Amino acid sequence: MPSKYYDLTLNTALVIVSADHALDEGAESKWGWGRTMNVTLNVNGVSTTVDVDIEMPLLWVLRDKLGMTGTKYGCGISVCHACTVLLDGAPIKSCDLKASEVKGRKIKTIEGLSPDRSHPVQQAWIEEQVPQCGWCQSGMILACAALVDKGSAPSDASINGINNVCVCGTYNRIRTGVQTAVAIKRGS
Amino acid sequence: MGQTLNPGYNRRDFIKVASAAGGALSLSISLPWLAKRADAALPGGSAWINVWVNISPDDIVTIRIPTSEMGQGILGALPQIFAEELMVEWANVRAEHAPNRDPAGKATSLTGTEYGGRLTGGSSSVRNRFTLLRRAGAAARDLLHSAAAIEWGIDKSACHAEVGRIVKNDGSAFFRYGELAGAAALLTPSTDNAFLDSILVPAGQRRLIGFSHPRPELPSKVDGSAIFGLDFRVPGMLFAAVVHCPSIVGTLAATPALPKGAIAVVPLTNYPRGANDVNPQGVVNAFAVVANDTWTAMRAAKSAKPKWTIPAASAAINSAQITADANALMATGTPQGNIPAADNDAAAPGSVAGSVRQYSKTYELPYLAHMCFEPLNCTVRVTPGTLCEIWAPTQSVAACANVAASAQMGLGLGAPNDHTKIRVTNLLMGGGLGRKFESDFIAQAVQVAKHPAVIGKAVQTVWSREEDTGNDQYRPMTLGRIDAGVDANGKIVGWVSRNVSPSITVQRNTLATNDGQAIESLIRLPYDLGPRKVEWVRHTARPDVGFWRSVGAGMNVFIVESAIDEIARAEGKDPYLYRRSMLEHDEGARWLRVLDTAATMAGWGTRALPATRKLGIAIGEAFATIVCHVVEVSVTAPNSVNVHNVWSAADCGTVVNPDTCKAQIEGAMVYGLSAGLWGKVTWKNGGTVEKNYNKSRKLKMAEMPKVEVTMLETPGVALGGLGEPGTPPIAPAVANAYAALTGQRIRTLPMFPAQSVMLDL
Repeated sequence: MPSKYYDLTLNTALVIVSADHALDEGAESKWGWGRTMNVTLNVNGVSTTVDVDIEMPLLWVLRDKLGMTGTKYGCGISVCHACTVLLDGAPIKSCDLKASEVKGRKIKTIEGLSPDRSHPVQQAWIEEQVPQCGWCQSGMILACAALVDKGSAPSDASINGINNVCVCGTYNRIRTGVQTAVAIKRGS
Repeated sequence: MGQTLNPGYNRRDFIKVASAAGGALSLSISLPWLAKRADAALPGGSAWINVWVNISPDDIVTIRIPTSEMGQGILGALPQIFAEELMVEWANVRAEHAPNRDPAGKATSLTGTEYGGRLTGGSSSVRNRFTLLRRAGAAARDLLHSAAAIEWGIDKSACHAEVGRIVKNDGSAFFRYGELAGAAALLTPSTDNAFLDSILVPAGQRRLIGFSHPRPELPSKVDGSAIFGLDFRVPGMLFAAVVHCPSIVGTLAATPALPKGAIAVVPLTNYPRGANDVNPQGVVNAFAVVANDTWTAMRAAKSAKPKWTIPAASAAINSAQITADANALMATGTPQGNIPAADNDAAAPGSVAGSVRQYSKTYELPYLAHMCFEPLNCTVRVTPGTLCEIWAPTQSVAACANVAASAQMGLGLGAPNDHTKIRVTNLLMGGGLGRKFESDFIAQAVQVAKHPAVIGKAVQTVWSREEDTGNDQYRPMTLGRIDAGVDANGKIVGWVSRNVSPSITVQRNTLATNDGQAIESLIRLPYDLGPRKVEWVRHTARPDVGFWRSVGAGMNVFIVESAIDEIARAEGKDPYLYRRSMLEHDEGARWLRVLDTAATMAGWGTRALPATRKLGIAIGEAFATIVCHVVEVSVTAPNSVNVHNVWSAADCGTVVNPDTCKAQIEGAMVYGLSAGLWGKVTWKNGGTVEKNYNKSRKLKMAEMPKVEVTMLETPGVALGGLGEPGTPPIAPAVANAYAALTGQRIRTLPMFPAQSVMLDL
């Protein structure tokens, strides 16, 4: 599972693969503090088993155990949607789910949307210069991708159904971006 | 006057150095000054020409910016200015934050003056550095020009710069910048401003300034690779969660016992905001719990059982008391502070009293929390006696360095600008909004990093959303009264403006008496109001106050633009034409143009509206940029308003990146709209009632108005800022439209506190 470290000599990010040791699925941990268990997660098509507290939300497993910091923390109480990931293709709030509740389900994070920013929503976001600060955009892009990947051009009403908060207020560009993504997908 | 060679320098040595610098660090040249400067060239051959720019042998141009990107687009706009004068293709430009360390070999340390300062705030990154950046880019181009001339053995006048290369005038040869950079790095840049100004790219030949070039960091913001403060990771790092005393005047009675799952508990002492802060240095008002991951740290912190000492005075820190005290001060408080003469006319009250009709209107605005979407955090590693490294989402590299060098932190590492001991790297911010140049969260992170259980390891100290909301530096609550008098024609002939608010300045320095922010946008109004008097009475209310996006303008434009609108309507005047009539003089010309543009865009007075819709207008100036918003609203449910359209005009003097400018006006407007509709922080027993987004509603997609922005320029004036000026005029524009539609004038913000719970729509 890729983990992202900051290369101190070059002041740039370096993506390296962490060396997770093999763990037995379901085995009780010997660490001893609170209850932990080994959970096998399918994240972006890759299966990884992690040893986590049974209460730990998926958000924090992604950010701190798997080093995937693309998924963001905004409120922790499931109102802002910044932590959105796709679970079996549908947007869910990862602060609202324990990792232990989603073993075996297909989890997609922003890192897994494409290997190279080639998803139509990502291309549209760059073309329309959608992000400002960017904190909401991981979750926002996944929520929009879920709409765009459904097949037909999303209606205004369905775009209005996106409840992800953007504090910078980029909503109008998001709306335009969704339609641009549809056009890119069509090859126009 | 152009590039001069250093004494003792000859061409043969230059060529040897240039090619050596292109490929290796070691040189066998005996000129000592050359040997010392040669390490300006890095392995791989790229070279720092000055503190701003590195050019690689294959022409990649990396430009460093001294202030911090937080969504306002300066990682694009600042390099655009520099790259225009350097004369390079935008596609070859890369941009990065400048850490507090200089590029190797150029200087022993950076003080920040080389960059025009290191503070991101006041919408100042572009406007304070426009000329500096142009000259720096031209100076870099001049070095390359000189390097080429030396290599060819010709006079500089026999060759010239084109985009990305230096060309012999007869066209017979050229060098790419990448071929010259190593040699150019060994020359000394010109500091002759007259010379540099003479070689700037003429405005008519610009390719970058004034054009909407794509922002360099945007691709990283669409694939999860962008590293914000909270995302910073190094192997083996720890995480800490902060818990503050529930009362802002309380202290920690004893460090709590180590909770389950935690590695350490660290008591945290207050780091003052200023020399005589009302919050004293050294008061222990919080603690941090250290663990191996963020969530475990937060959970352990919640399970800790701290004992707090809460003084009796805490009970009086509640909203009802704060408002009651403000009303008393409005009635009888003594004003203070320096008011400019034109706004301190003793004749004003008499003009009001003696006028045909008088108006007295009072407005109340609440404390507001920043709530940057990325909560406060800072990563620190202390190597005892040797090094303090800070990685932070910060608006102030200098503040971080000062914390590390402070006596209070006791690291003993020397001066803040000694980058061999104190290294600060500013990361991307998920919103800064005026919160992230404060030092409090930085000082806490250093204290955690010093703890014996942690020292030597990197630790990321994090505030949960609740801690972030509850321990902010809030926009000051404000009570503002306007007393105005009109003549028989309804023209304002006297104006007295009296505000009561806590003082950012005085809280941080109790010896100060003046607060410029408190009266921003109350003074220097270009409206013809007759004699004017502005008064400010300081409220000693205890909650911490600070710089919330648009600062004093945020409160005061609401007060002024609501009052003018009320007077206009009462006098039977059209609110747009009424404002217009007060700006028809030389000093009002720029405001008038902005007002007219927005009103024309909205079709004010020319477009028929259904009975269910009304327009509202408001204009204000902040940080040298004038913004007018016109809104179209309807009301379809109680305690709410639908904002269908916003038409905005903004004059910022010079537009560097039109797309970015429009995005900033629109985004700042949204921030002000959410605040105007629902934003508030209420106080109870010394703490805030609102702790998270559930009680601090933000505008969502379905509620977002259509927005149209027109940017205006005024050649020859000082540039205005873009990050903040869009915020102040939106709340009054909406309140004005609401009054026009319903007959109900809302004078207390937020407009709809009962609707401030955030729900999925």
